[in-house]
Parts: sequence; C-alpha cells; structure tokens
Amino acid sequence: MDPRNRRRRIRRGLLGLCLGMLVALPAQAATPLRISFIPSQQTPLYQGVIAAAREALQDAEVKPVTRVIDVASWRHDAASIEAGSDLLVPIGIHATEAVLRLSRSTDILATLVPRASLRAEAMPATRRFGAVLLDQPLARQLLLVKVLLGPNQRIGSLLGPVSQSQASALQHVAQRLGLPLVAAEVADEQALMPALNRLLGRSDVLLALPDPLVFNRRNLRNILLSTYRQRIPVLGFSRATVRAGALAAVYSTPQQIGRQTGHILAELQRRPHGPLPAAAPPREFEVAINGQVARSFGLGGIDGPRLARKIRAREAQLSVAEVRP
Amino acid sequence: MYPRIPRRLRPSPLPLCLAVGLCLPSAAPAEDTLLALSEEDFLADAPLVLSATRLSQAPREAPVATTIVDRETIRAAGVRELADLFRLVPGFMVSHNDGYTPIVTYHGLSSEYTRRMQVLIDGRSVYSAAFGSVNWNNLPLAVDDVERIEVIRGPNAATYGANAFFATINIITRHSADTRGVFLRSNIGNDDIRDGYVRLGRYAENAGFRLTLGYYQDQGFRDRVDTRHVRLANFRGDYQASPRDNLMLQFGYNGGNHEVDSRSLRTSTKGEVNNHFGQLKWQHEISPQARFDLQFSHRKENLRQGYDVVVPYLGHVIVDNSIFAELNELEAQHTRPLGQNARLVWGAGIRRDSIEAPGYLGTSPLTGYTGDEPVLHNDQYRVFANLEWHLARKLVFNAGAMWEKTDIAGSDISPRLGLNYLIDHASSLRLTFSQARRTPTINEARSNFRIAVFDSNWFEIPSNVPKPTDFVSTQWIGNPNLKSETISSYELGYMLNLPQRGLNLDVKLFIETLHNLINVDENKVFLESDYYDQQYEVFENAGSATTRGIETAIDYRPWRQTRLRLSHSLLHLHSDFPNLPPDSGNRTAPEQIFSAFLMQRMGAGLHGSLTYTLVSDSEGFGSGEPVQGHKQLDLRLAARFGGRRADGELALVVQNLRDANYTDWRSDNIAERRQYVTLDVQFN
Repeated sequence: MDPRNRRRRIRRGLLGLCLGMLVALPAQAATPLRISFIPSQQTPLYQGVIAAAREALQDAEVKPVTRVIDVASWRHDAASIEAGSDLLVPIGIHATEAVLRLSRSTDILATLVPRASLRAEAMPATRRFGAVLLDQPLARQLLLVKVLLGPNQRIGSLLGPVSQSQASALQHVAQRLGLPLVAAEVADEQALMPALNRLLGRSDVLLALPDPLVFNRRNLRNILLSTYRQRIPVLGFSRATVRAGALAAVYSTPQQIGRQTGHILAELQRRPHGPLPAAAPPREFEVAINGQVARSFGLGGIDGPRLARKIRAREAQLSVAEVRP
Repeated sequence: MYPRIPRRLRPSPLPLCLAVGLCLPSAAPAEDTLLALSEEDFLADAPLVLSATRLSQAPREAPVATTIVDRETIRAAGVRELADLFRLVPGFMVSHNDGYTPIVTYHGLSSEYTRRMQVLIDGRSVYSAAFGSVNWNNLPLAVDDVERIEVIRGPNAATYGANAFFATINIITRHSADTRGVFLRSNIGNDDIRDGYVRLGRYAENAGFRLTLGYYQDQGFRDRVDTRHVRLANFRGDYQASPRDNLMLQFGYNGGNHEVDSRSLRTSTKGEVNNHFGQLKWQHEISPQARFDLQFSHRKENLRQGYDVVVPYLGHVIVDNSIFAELNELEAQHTRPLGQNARLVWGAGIRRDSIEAPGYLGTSPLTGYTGDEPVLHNDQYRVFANLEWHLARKLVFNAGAMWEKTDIAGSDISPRLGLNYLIDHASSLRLTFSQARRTPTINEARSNFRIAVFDSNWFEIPSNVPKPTDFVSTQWIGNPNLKSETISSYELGYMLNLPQRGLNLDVKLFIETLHNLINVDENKVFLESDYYDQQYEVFENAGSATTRGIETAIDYRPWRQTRLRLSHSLLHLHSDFPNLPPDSGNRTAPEQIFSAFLMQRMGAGLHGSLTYTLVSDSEGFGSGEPVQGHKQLDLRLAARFGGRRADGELALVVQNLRDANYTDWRSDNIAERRQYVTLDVQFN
C-alpha cells in the first residue's frame, strides 16, 4: 500500500476511534429525558413539588425536559402522552392511580405518596416503578421519642387496618433502638377507644402512625382529648396533627419531597438505566413542636431544628451500624 | 418526538420488579381502597383540639407548688382509702382519729378537724362548713374512679377561695370515655376487711356515663370500737353537646354506719352518716383562647349520732351530735387572653351553707330551745381574678386576688403575687407572696353546744340550790364576732425537669405567718346554772404562729421499669396562744416527714411497690395528746394478667409490714399490720 494512504487510514482510524469514544461514552447521557409531571390537583401544594423538583434539576449537566400534564388530560390522551415521555412522574395518589391504570410501558416514578396506598395498586410487571414516599422511616420517628423524652418511655402505638402492616417492622426497629413498644391493633371503630384505654394504661407516650380509621378527624379529636386527660403525650405524623395537639412530629414538606424527586431525576438523567428507588423514604425532614402542649407537659424551650439535628446525627450512626457485616 | 431510550440499554425489568414486590409490604385487600391513605392525610390541616384553654398551666409558670399523685402512683399504691395517698406528698401527715376517720394535715396546728385545707372533687368543695373538716371516710367516690390528685402546697385563695389556707387538694375523677366496660374489684383482708366495687361504663360518639357501686367495711383499731360499714354509689355522665360545648353531670351517694366511743361518757354508740350530691358543669369554648365555665353543685350530709345513756356519776345524759348540712353553690368563670402575652381568668360565685344541728347549735327543745328556726344559713359571695403575664421570654408574672363576703365573717380580700424566672429549658425559679383567709366554721361562730341531763345525782351541785334533777349543760359557745384567720406566705421555689434522665425535682422554701388563729379559749366562762361544769368554752381569735421550712419532692425514673418518688419536709413551727399553755402549738407539726415510694415492674406481668414513711413526733392540737413519731413500711405485690376480652390484677397489700405498733393520734389507736388481697377485673 502507498505509505501516505496508510498513514491517512491510520489517522482516520484513530480519529474515528477518538470520535467514537467521544460519542460512545457520553452518548447515553447526551439525550435529555422527557419527563411528564402529572399532579393530582392543580393547587399550590402540587405546583410546589414540581417547582422544587425543577429547581433541583437546574444543576444537572444535561437537563431533562419536563412538562406538566393535568390528570384530566392524562386520562384523555394517555397513549400519546406516554409515547412522548421517557418517565411519568405522578404526584399524589390520585394521579398515581390513573397513571398505573392507563399507562402501558413507560417507567413511573410516583412521588408524594403514602407507602400504604401503593399496596392496593397493581404493580407493573413490564417496566420500572419507583416511589418517593411521604412516610417517615420508623427509626426516625422512634428516635424523636428518644431525643425528646428520653430512653425510658414505654411507647404505645395504635394500629389500624392500614398501619398494622408495619407492626412487625415497628417492633423490630424499636428493639434495635432499645425502646419498649406495645402495639394494639384495631379492626373497626367500635374497638378503637377501648383499645386505646387499655394501651394508655401501659404506655408513657403514644406514637401515631397514619391510618384512615384510627386517625381520621373525629377519632383524632377523641384520642388527643383522652391522652391529654391522662397526661400522655402523642407523637404525630404531620405538622397538622401537631397543630391539633400532638406534642411533636417528624415530617417532610412538599418542597423537600419535590427536591428529593428532582435529585432522583437528575441521577436518572446521568445514568438512564440506573435503578429507580423502589420506595424511597423522605431524606429531608423537619421536627414540628406544639409549644403550648410542650409547656403544659413541663417541657420548656424545646427547639425543632435542634431536635432535627440530633435525629440526623443518630440516624447517620444507625446506618453505619447497619452496614456492619 | 424524542428518541426513546434504546431497549437494549435498559436492564431487564423483571428482577427489579421482584425486588420491588419484596420491598413493598403485602397487599391489603382490594376492598380497602376506600380506607386507603392519601397524601391529604399527611398534608391537609386538622382542626385544633388541644387549644390553650384546654391545657393546664405549665407547672414551671405557675405561682404555686403542685404535687401530682398520678394514676400510675394510685394503682401502684393499692390503697383502700384516698387519704392514705397523701403520705406521698411533701409536708403531709396522715393520722387517724378512729379507724375510719383519717386526719390529713399539712403544717400542723390541727385538731381532729382539719379546718385549714380546701378539698375538692372535680372542682366541687367537699369541705364541710359545720366543723371545718373533710369526711374522708364518706366520699362518694371509689379509688379506681380517680384519674389524679393535684395537691397545691401553700395558700391558694386567689383561685379556690377561703379555706384554701394551708393547702388545696383537687381530686380529679376519670372521664367516662376512659372507664368503659365492666370493672370489678374486691378486697379481702384482716381486720374484717371486705370491700366490693362494680363499675359499668359506656361511651359512644360524644356521650357516655359510668356508674360505680361499692361497699367497704373493716374493724378499725384493735383497742377501739370503730367498726364501719359503708356503701357508695357514683354516677358520672359526659356529653359533648357541640364541638364547643361540654357538659358533665355527676351525682353520688355514700352512706354507712360506724361505731364511736366517748371517753368522757365511757360508752360507745353507733353513728349513721350519709351524704349525697349532684353536680353539673358546663364548659363552653368561646375561641381557642377563651372559655366560659359554669358549675352548680348541691350536697346534703346527714350525720345521726348521739348518746342516750345513764352515766353513773352524772345521770341520764342525752347528747345529740347530729349534723344535717346542705350546700348549694353556683360558680361562673371566664378565661380570656389579654393581648399577646397575658391570660386572665376571672369569675364569681355564690354559696349557701345550711346547717341544722340541734345539739351543737342549741336548737333542740330538749335543751331549752323555744324558737322555730333550727336551720342556720351562711351565705358566701366571692369574686376572683388571676392574671398570667409573660413579661419576657423567661419571666412569667402571676397576680391574683379573691374577694369574699360571708354572713359569718364579713368581707376580705386575699391577694397573690408570683414571679417565675425560667432559667433555661430545664430549671426555673419561683418567688411568690400569697395571702389566704379561713372563715370561722359554723361551730366556731354560731354554736351553742348543750347536752341534757335528767334524773341527775350529780354530787357537785351546790348544796344551797334546790336539787334539780333535770338540767342543761353547756359545753361550748361560738363567737359571732370572730374574725377570719389569715395566713401570709412567702415562698421561694426551684424546679428542675430533665426528661432525658427521667428526673423531676421540686424544692420549696417558705415562711408563713398566721394571725387570728381561732381556738377554744382556755379561760372558760362561768355559768352558775350549769351544774355539770359551771363553765363553758368560747372560741376566740386566740393566737398567732409562724412556720418556716423546706419541702422537697423528687420523681425519678432511672430506667424504665423503676420509678422512685421521694418527698421530704423540714418544718419549724412556732406559735403563740396567750390563753393556752405555752408551746401549745409548737409541737403540732412533725419537724421532719420523709416518704419514699418505689414502683418496680418486674416482667412477666409482675409489679411491686414499697412505701417507706418516716414521721417525727408531734402532738394533736387542743388535745395535747402525743402523736408518736413512727416509721412505716408498706408493700404491694401484684400480678397482671389478661386476654382478649379482659384484663385483671391480683395483688397482695401489706400496710405497716413490720407491725410497728405506734400510737396514731390517740393513745388507744394502736397502728398494727394490715394485709389484704385485691382482685381487679376489667372487661372491655
């Protein structure tokens, strides 16, 4: 062969190789993902989740393309919306239900959903499904008891038809943290108050886990009144329960959930065939305190942010212990 | 159109799904989609339940020293009588005039009638205006119906009015929502202890009730004739009429008989006592920060007791110790915020005491009464106000006053000022000045206690007097010009609360000055026609006193199975009664009182408690009889058992375990070991 042609070929080959490498390596990240947010309602709460997610995506190298579809439009045009999306992100249980029902092959990342409500849905078999949950990890809630009230409190928990699935997990975590826990399971409304009375005789603090039977408006009222009469504090599961009269709670705001969702989406953009978190608990959280109730219980000057820091520190230690062989 | 992620670049979905399936908990039945949670449960608002007016004042911000005997303590103590619980409160001493008459005193100066303490059940006074005492034996309430007892150590007239002199005890009963199902209790023990209680409770939606029936008996002290048999019934109904209106209705009955002996007449008799009451309370929540309360109560107490005996040295003596007392009271209270940092509680009340006591009031035809108004009325009006003001983040100021006017004692104002400094989130200091009054009892102000003697052969009748065989002897006469007693208290308190360590500490230093103390004047009034005594006693504002001391309470839970309650008081009492022998009052308060109460959960449903009480020597006021100092140890061992439908507890209680035979108030009250077995069953 002509030496000049040979050199040219080698150069071209090398160039092709370099170009190929340049193309092949980031090729997977180069295409922005098409993400459809589907909020359950068009209210500021859900819009806040979307805004926080989008803000978290601002830092990504390659920004996914996002659009917002309302549930009605989704129901109407599911097929075409699906075709134009790489990932569906329903926000709230209402949208998640609709997306699971009407989508066929697109991956789903449900966000702002309670763990329990996902059980009732049919899990997709042919694609990836992930979720960002609202439920705080049990360990975090039990750590709140520890940092707020000390390690010697007997914890009572009233579990209903929905929350009772967590009974064994709760016992397990309580045991790991060295906290005595007594759980009572309630199957119907009639059994609730008698079960509560028996539980209160054996508890120093009541841990509330969300359950539509146990902690609906009417029952929440009776429970808060009854527990206060017997001077037993209640640890709630939301800022609202704390405002109503629970002593304290760990909770996450929609913005924090949105931010976490955004980070997951950014990670997915970097590694599109990476895993979706099956049921991610909220990473960021805050501690709400009812100051008046706290003072009435003789607990002065407790500071939500300070307690949150303490809980984070202990949670970190727990994870370290957890990875011990 | 955006390019899809190429199929070959996606990992196989199946293994991930399996992982997903394993991670998520097992599916609930599909029908439960109605009960399924949504994000609303986490994020939507919930209506305010524990508003400011429902919450009790923070203990650190209150101007008074409060000791709470909570339900865990009441259960662990396993007492048959509520009065026994006060041994666990700093500064309190519990003695017995007879087996069935507990005397609960604080800071001494007490005869068998503890006149200087206010006692309430759910805010209704059970203090008897006739003799100024609380009939602990005949409370229409079962021990297991009590939620907790709040004891305020120190004058508290600004909140509770006259007679909240040395201390106030408020017994709070359990709400009917907390006492559902059927409850049975029985106590069997020595001294012929046989008690039985049955309670039925129902609660649905927003209304409910409970009904308790009980019976108790025992033989009292070994050397005394003081057996008792008592029955009680108590009903409580609660009705949440609207989200803002709450109604409580209570009524009850207690009746029984007891034996009583008289040392002077050297004989014994049987007394019959019964009482019933009714109470209606309405709480109206005006706003989360404002509330209106209205309460009406009625109580009638009947004590039938007397002697009709032939006394060899005297004759045929008829003594009537009966008292029929009726109380009607109406009180209204308004709680409201004043600006951002203050709260005002103010209110007014009227009360009428009606007493009929033929012997004590001298209104018996048998002793010469010819009038037609046997019933004495005493009306009381009061107005009060209490302000709680958060001056700064760490400073709370409490100011209050009570104005009262009674027929017996005119009108008075009792003020209180307190400043609480919240040092940090765990500790606080309190400086309080408080004044209170004790209005004279009917006996002190209006009595005319006369006994009738017939066929007398009393040898001391003067010889120049034609021998009457029938005459009347006056024992004592009340003084209508009595002023109310006053107490001024200065106290410095310190509180420490470390929930992380399970420690709660409360210390109080105090000085109290008392004036116009009412007592029987030793200089008796001569009455020639009284052939028995030829004199009678009168009540006077006879003296003054000062108390100084320090009280400490510790509630410590070192680890979860153990709880220790310690209480200690050191008291120096100095009194001055010109008309009585010197030092008459000084020894009426024990210098030192200590109690330790240990509660231990031992696993496998076993619970134990141990009480150690140490009281130093003191004296009964008036009687001068020594109240021997003593150390007492009580033990309780209990086993809890339960199933799906019922819970139960079997317990053995031994009081005075070491059988320390000390004299309890009277030389013939020998305290002995007492043991009984208790069986509780609660059906849901």
